[in-house]
Amino acid sequence: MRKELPLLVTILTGLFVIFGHDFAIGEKWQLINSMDKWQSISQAVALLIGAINLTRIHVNHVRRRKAGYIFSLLLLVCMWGYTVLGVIDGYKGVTFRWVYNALLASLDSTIFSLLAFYIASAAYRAFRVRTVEASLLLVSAAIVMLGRAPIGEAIWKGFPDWANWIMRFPNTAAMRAVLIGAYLGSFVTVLRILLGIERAHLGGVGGAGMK
Amino acid sequence: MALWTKGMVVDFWFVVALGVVTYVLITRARAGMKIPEIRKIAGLEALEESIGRATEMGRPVHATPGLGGISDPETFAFFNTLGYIAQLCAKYDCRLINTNRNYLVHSVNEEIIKQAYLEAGRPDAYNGDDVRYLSGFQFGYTAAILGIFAREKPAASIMIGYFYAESLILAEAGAQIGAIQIAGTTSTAQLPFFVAACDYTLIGEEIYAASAYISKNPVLLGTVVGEDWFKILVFLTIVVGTVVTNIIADPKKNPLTNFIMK
Amino acid sequence: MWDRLMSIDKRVIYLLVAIAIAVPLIKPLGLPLSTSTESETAFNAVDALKPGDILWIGADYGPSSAPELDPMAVAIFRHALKKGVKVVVYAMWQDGVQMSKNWTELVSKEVGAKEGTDWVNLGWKPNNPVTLRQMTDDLWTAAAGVDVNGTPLSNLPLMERVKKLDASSVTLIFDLSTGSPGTADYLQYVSEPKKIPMSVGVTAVSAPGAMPYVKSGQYTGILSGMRGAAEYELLSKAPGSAIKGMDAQSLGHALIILLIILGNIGYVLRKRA
Repeated sequence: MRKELPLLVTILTGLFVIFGHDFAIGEKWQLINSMDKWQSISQAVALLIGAINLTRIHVNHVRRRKAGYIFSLLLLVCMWGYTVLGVIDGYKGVTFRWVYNALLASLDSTIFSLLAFYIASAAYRAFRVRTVEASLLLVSAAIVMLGRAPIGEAIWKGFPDWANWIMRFPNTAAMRAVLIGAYLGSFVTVLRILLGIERAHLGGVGGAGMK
Repeated sequence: MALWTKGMVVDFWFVVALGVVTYVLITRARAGMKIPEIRKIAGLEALEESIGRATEMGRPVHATPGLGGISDPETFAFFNTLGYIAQLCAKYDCRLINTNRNYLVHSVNEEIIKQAYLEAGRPDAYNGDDVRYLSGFQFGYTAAILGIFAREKPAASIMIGYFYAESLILAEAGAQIGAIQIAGTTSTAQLPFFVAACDYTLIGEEIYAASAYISKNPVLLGTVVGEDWFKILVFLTIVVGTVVTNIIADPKKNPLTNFIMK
Repeated sequence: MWDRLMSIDKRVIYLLVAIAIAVPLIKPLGLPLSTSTESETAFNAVDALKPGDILWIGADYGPSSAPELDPMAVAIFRHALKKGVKVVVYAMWQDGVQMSKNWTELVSKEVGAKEGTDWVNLGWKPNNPVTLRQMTDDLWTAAAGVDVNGTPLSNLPLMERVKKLDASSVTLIFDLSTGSPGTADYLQYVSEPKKIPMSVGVTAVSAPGAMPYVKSGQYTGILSGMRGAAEYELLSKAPGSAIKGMDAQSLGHALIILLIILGNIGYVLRKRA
């Protein structure tokens, strides 16, 4: 029953969505809309799971005085402190916004900006003219990079046009191929879940057990 | 009143047809009839090798589904692989660290890993503290993984799911600690980063073939073959569509467009 | 010797990147900039709006992508308000609230536009893209009846014209997005089914993935990364932070190409040796 009931719910929900989407009567009865409301409510409740889990793990760290427990304590103070501040102060609150703009925004941007450094080191390490294909990739990457920045234009006026051509045609063709394959793949995965063939999400190894 | 919602007729029959083809292939597989083989996928072949290497080095294995939520098919592709990874880790007695950004995905992963350890006969080796919910913030999650990489130095990092800008940050940080990295995503924007920085990359739909490929289960393989049949159908539609569009310039008079949008 | 070219210490690389980006920000080079067809199409979509039309701006990003997307938001919002176009802002990302609050307040003060009459910020509502889809049926209920400040929508005159997110009320959607939920959800749940034209502004890394939709005509133009923002600033004749950032991008790109060339010289020469 532990696995059958969730499977039954999955299958019924799948059929419900198809009926609500594809049939005019489903649209008239606003089935999808009512399901959306149910989902909104259950998602909001589920949000608590994350917070509770995080609290449970870090309270345990603090209680057992694990290495670095002070950071767990900091996490708990920040998480619950900011939650309380948000409830009291709201989006309009000066303190709430200050914490966001001065701390959260800066920390977020800092981690994202690592990308600039990592792109440089990854490109330096990985882009080698090992094969003809790799050389083609390298040349197109260089053209796009030069075409996307004014320095390319200053070197040669043709770079932006070439970069745009690469983006519009070879890039679009490859992206479409990957996307079509990915959509079909996801479609079949969903079908496998609906038919109950794939059940790893219910715990264990599902269909992918070691043979 | 019309039976169908506008624009959904072809959509519906496409779902039905794919369902029927898949069902036929599953029935054939169950009856023991021959199912075409699927090609070798290096990234999936390397899973066992990478976990074996981590075991030899006495270092943990890291696995994350990226930023995808519980309703993303990419996350389900991760679920389908995670059980196998966890079972291998249990078998080799190698520590598995699972990191999560989504609280619901985290709960499911916890269950999958626990069950896999149980099925491998090693429930005692399961450590709940290694299945971690990090942060709902994209870069909070990223920074936490960077910390884990620096402190616990996993020898293998498996990233299968939906990734955004954190893909290269994670892959490059993994490369710097010398981890074998197996990544897979359908995110076209992040694929180039994974290809550049990881040892193996599962491109697009390959992540969905994982469970069928790993288990060699004919029923699951049948669904992958069904998918390929439809890929041929889509390809033919594109060819016919291109020809028709070049003959009839006005999209309103294009019979193929009208049929699809019916 | 050649091995050295192939194994420059990563700390040296990071230092060079920091210098290449920081120097032009302090001392701009003023390199010339042209505009692409995709940016021009996106600009023209906003420029073609008439006074009183409603533009819907999606703020689906966080602080990390702000350097690329904030300048777009500022330029588009300013352009629309100056034309007398009404604007509704909505964030599917929690972070989008803070982002949009910053630029809506800044620009509306500069232009002299009035909140509630000329523009409304709906803020963030939970459970997107489901909530976005609900907005196409009943926006007021989906938005819980309030804007970002908790003001009832019934007190905001502009919202009397926007009971639903559909083509009868909204003339153009301009989604600024860095991931999910974002442009794909607007396309799937709003733009396509409700037949509302849609332009997008995305981070540079997301642009290749969005290009197929531009080519198919599903996106009316695209602003790609900081370059896209700079082009919009140029087209709207209001230079801002994106144009200033272009020189840093130039040197950053040039440095990466230089590093790749050095690595490859080492690789080829070692192979020959």
